Amino acid sequence: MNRQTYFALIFSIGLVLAVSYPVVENWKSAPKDNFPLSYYPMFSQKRAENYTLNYAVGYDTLGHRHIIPYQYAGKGGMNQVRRQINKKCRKGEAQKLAQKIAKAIKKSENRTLKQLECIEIIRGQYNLDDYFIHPNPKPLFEEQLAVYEM
Amino acid sequence: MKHWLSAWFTPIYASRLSLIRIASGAFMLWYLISRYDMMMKMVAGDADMYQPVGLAAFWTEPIPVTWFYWILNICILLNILFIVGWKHRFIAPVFAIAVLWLMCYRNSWSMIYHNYNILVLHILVIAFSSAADTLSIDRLIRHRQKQQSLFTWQTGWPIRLISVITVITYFLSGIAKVKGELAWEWFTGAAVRSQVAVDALRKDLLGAAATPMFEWLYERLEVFFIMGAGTMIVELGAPLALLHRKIGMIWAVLAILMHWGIYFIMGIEFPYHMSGFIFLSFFPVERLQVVTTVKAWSKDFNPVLVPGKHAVVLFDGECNVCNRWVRFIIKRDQTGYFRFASQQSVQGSKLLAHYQVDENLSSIILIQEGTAYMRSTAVLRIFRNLGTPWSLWWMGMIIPKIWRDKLYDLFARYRYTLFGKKEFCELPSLSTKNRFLLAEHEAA
Repeated sequence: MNRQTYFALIFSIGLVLAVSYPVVENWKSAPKDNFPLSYYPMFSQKRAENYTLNYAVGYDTLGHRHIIPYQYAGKGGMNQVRRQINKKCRKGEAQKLAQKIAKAIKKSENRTLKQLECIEIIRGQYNLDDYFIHPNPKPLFEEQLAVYEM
Repeated sequence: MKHWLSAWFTPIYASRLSLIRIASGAFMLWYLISRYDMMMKMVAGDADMYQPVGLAAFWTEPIPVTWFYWILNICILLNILFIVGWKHRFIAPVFAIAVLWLMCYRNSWSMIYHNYNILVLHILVIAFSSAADTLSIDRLIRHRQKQQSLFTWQTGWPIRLISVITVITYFLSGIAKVKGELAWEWFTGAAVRSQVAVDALRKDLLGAAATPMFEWLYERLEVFFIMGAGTMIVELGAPLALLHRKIGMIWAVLAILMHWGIYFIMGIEFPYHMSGFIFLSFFPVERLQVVTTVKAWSKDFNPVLVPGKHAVVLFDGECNVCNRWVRFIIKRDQTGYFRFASQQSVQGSKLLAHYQVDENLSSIILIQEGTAYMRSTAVLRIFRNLGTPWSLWWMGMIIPKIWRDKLYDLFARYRYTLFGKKEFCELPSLSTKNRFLLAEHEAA
């Protein structure tokens, strides 16, 4: 073995150990994910029959309710924005979020959303079976976290 | 230990590593360009969302947007150079570290995405392996200066390392599921159903594109059972892919199918995985390169060689037993399937260079359907095509390759002692001349 093969061997062993090491997170009380060395926790969390979520809705002049797409609430993919919304709600900044959404809607070209009269930030809980099996699913509860008049 | 080391450093065609370099580089370039605007908006957003991970953890506060702009653009430039293979030994490590930092920073904004971890790790391996520049500008320049070996110990370990870390990531994913709150519910399908349902609900309430198949699927528990059990088999069974080449290929296909299943049911894209690029190290992709170029190259060869219709046997022209072996084949090969060239001849050398095989006089080399076979495998494949009863030797393939090759090597080592050596390569007789690949001056 020469110096180059030693380098290749050490590099290989080092990388294999580094990529494998995050597995220890599974046994920690407060596991922490990382990048690019991850323990790949996606889909490992147990889901209850009922699921609670923070989201934004708007009401038009006729009182019709509209779901506001996540793109108006933050930047990035859906799950990334969902976390941003949760974080803001946890920090008590739901009102600020509603205001930000209203501003983004005003700037946008979306005619339907531009007709909204108010924006609400909601925490709602749904039963998964009810939601997907029944034709008109209703939330188990909805809590209004913030309202912003357009 | 010695056996493990020998297996780890056994050569694989260098062009496979280069093709992986080009594919992973192209994928990363596509990602950086297609997400350019999104990334620029993201880093200009709310600084409260910044939660640094990986290399970005050295920066507790977000960097100025202009800095990110320049880093992103330099990364794109380095990415292009990485793909074309310019100054690979210098540019590739710089690019790998730059893109590692960039992707860490990109994942530091409230959400870690698991789609591109492995792409970054693959690039890191390729960047630190000097043999990844077979198909490159560097190679074109060096080729003019000096013919370099493309089948050395440096060509095997990076490909194996890429396969190993790919397998580890899947295995870790499986362990996280089993060790998580859902544990073995993954095998019943209940877990996957609840995960998919939550994802669909989120999409619905956050106004993301829905997955139309989901509502149809929700009440079909058997589909979730297949998906759940299939996912666990692919993830926890991943280490089996390292046991044998064919198991590796089957596993890779199953993993690709799993990702397409996730996409159709949950609408979650894993582009690097779904495209199959992540699994290139498991497949002899270098054959694609051989197939596409063989026609062009075959023009250089003697017209008796018709690609696809013939196999070529490359032998040691100075070895008595090899010459006898060639005569043995010619006598029994009634259809004229085999063509011959000594490894020392012009055409033999061209073929060796083309198939990226080092001259190896201690082994007979068989080139068949775009692949070069050596030692015992080459011999058994030749027997297979000689008709009964000789084709029965093909059953020898059930003997582990390592044992067959050891026996072959023992014989090869003493071939000159036992059967003697010629002073020069023997030229074919007139009756067999059409079976040999000869350069023009040799044919005259």
